[in-house]
Amino acid sequence: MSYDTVQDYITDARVLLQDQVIPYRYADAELVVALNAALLETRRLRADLFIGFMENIPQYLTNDDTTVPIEQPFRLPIVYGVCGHALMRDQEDIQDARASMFMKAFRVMLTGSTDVLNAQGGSA
Amino acid sequence: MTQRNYRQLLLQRAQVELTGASAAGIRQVMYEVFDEFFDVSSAWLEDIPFTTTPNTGTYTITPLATPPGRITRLDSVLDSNSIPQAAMMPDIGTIVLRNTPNTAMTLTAAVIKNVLLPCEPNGFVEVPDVFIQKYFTGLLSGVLGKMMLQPGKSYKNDQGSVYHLKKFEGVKTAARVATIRRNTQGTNSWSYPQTFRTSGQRGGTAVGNDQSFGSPP
Repeated sequence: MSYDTVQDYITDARVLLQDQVIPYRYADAELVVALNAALLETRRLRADLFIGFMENIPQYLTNDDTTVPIEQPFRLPIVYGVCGHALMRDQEDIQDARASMFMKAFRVMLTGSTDVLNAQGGSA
Repeated sequence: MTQRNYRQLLLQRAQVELTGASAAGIRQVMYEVFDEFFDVSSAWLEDIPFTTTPNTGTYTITPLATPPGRITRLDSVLDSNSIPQAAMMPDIGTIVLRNTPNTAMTLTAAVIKNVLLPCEPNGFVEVPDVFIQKYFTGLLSGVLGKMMLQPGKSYKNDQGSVYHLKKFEGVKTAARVATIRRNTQGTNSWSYPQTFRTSGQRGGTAVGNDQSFGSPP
């Protein structure tokens, strides 16, 4: 797993979400939206990762083999961002905690600081 | 080691020190560091020969294409006997001689260069290898110091930034002095033998000389 394409991200997110059996709990389209949301948030937190396409943040429509142009060390937090965003739709205590955990990991891995969470009023 | 590898080495060393820094971010800062370094030190000199034509005092010069750089200042213009010729550069790349030559001769303009802003989104700044080799630790400190100033990053470090930028400041100064002294040890600043002077300071008044456009004695 090298997290090169949209498919790579969605496939691994399904592992973390325990959603690998058809019919899926989270549809492909929903996870693609979650990936897009994670990329938008990444752009906000780490603009340096989008040098060259600052005004044209990559956004995707389908779960395919389109490349996601992110430096390798920053790909795992994006998977966590996808999972966190997907889990946020649920209204169960366990899922809420997991969503918070994934979103926290996503932000801390990108910024290296929990101060960012407090400053932005994010859930910790 | 190729030029790209020297810059790659600088990038990798910075990544070791800066946990969570992106290569793209460091490459951007590398441009800023080199720009500041060359601007302060004037260390990047390039000799550009050009041939004069009778009764023409203005000439256009073009720097070498590789590595690409932009001319920022004129250091000197020498004739074929290494005697300085009074000249200025009112527009970048345009040499204006004070004394319009009446014969064809070859002059050499020494210009001070600086880096070009990389055009490619993730492009490395182009810079001669020799400067990375000679000032590696100082340039690395420049990159680290500037990166550590960035807010909201895992590698933000105020104390570290002060330390590294101070070190970078010292290297810029050392490079400037080395350039003025033309990399010599224990000598005065570079100057031509005074017998070459064509103007003096008779009467105790500072006057212009062939290095400047001051009033003739």
